[in-house]
Amino acid sequence: MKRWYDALPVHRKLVAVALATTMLALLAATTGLIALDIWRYRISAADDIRSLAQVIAENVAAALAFEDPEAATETMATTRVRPAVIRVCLYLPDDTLFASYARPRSEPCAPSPYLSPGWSMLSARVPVTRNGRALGSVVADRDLSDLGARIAVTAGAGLFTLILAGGLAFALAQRLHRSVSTPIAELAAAARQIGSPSYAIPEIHANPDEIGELVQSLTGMMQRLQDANNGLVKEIDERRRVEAERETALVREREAGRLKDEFLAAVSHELRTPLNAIVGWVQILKMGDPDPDTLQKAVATIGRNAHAQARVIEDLVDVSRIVTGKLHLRFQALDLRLPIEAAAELNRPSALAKSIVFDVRLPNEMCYVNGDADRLQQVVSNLLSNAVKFSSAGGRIELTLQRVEGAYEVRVADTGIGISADFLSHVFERFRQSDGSMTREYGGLGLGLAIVKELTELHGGAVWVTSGGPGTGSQFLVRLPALVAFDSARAEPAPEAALSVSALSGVRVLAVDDNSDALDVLATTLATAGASVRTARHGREAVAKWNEDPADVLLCDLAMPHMDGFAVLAMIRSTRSGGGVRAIALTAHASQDYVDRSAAAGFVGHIAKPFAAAELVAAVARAAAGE
Amino acid sequence: MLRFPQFVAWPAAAFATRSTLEICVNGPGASVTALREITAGETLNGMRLTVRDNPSERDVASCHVLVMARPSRELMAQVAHLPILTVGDGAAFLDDGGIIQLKLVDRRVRFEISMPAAARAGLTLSSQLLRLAATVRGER
Repeated sequence: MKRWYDALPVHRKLVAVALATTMLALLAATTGLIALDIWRYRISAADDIRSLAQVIAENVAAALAFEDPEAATETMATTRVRPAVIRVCLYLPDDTLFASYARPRSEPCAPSPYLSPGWSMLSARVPVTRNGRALGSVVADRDLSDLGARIAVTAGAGLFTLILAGGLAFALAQRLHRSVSTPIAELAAAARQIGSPSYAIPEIHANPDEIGELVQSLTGMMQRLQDANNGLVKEIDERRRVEAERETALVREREAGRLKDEFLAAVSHELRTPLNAIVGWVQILKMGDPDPDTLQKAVATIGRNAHAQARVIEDLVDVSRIVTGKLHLRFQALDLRLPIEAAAELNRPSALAKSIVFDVRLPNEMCYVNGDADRLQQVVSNLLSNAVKFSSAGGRIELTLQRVEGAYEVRVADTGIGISADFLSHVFERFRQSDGSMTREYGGLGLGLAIVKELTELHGGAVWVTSGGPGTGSQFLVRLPALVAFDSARAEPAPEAALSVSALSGVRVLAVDDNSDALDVLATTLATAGASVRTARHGREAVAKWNEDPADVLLCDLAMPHMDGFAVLAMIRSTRSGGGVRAIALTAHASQDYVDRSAAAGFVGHIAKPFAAAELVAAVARAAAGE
Repeated sequence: MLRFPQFVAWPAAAFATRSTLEICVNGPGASVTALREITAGETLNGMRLTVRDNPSERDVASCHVLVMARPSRELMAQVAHLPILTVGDGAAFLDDGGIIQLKLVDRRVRFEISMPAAARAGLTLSSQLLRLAATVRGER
């Protein structure tokens, strides 16, 4: 019973409590009423029988006095209208029975007065007197038979009230329990939902009592829990994100580190390989008098390897410029065919050396683009040298240029080793090579294609690569925006400066460089071109030699210890004869910044090291001529 | 004879100066003696009972109860309007103006009552007495 009650929902409990309370109270009240009724009934029944006996006693006095039992019996028989009266007995003063009346089917009177005790019967004995004289006594008995009916009526009324009140209490409880049980039930339902997935408690209407407080505090509690949980979730997400970022950064860093290591290995390899040839031949030459053929071969080999090294360094410098955003293009309208032809001519010998068919197809009409001729040549040259490098002997390289809508497309297709699908997306990344191992078959820094991409994009173009996979060759496609409205008069290509032995005849040059090898090369180159050259190893010597005898052209390295090129120029200018000096700056810093600075300082020309002999001679010639 | 006074109410004036109930007997002395024996020491409502034998015509007015063994017309007429309960056993006692007439029925003493006579005398008879009576004359 208790377990059954404990498991009841709250609203049933409330109804049950209300019902039980009402029932119990009513039951108690009814029981009390019945008890009271019985008590009062007994009192009144006792009074009743006493007064009946009294009346009889009054009325039988004469009959007794005149000893008339018939009259007495007649009088006593009037009680037959009272069914509860069992018998009335009239005794003489000497307690002998004088007259009697008994209800049908009941005990007759006892021969002497006898008061029957007991619950079921009430008796009364009243003396009969007349004018102070005792005439006898009346004993009357009555039963309590009408008590049962009376109790039944009371009990029935009680039962009726019980049922009525029970129904009312049930109905009332059904209605009123809601204010208590509904919020509790809703609260319980809400509590079951907590955490799946939200901690929010739906709006619960409750009266401002303890339940209302409970609802409020639980709602608040859950809100705080929700907030705390939200915070936790957010923090966990944030930490995961940071962790993932860190992970990614770590991977990237490791990758970058690996690439850097590979790159450094490649750089040293690329620099050392030509150096080996140079050093080897220099040692052979040192050993004694070489015959002219050997000398010729030595000079050619040394020159070729020096160029190779210079190209490596050039690539590195280019990448460095691109990375630092210091690469400046000299845009001009130009015929795209010219840099392509130049690049093709540059690479044709190496292709022929590997017996590779080199097929260049260019359109007959001018193909104008806005660009830097040298850089565009570099783009195409890099693609071609790449194609040559990765093609085996007997292969084929196709270079085509064609106009597509609003642009020109340069296509370089080879029959080389191809590119695996995995690596295809990394082809244009810096320092990337498909084979990073020490035993790789192909040399190079892995910078060529990165430079191609950067330069193309600087020209507003785009570059793509396709390959069917290893062994199927690859196709590179460079697209450059076409220059449509263009005045062809401005597109005259600069005349190629020819290096002739008499180009600088009679020109006096003072060359200044702290590096004696570089100074020797300078002096030799200029002297070969017919100039009379004096050299200085540092700034002070230069100023002293200028004071001794001024020159037509001052060729001065910018980066020198103690006194840099700018200071040297300033000093010489301050001399009597140095006001009109024509100075050319020499620098390994080929950036636009240096070009601008040297121009601002008064240098009329700027030559980047390492220089091409023809370029140097042309620059000196222009300076000497006062251009 | 003692029983009748218990069921009769006299006017208050009848006991104004006395504290005894006088029962007068007009007849042979034997019954007086017997009556005296019965009433010796008896009281009715706190009043002593006295028995007087053959009262004179002058004295009869002080009687409360007058038992007439030999009813005389003169005496009857004399007490008719006095508050005196007249009891007799002659066949025509009530016709002569008596109030209670005794008679023997089935060897038991019964009585008849004349209400007009009682009313003349100013006496009130108990209803119980009337109920016990064999007949009641002048009942309304």
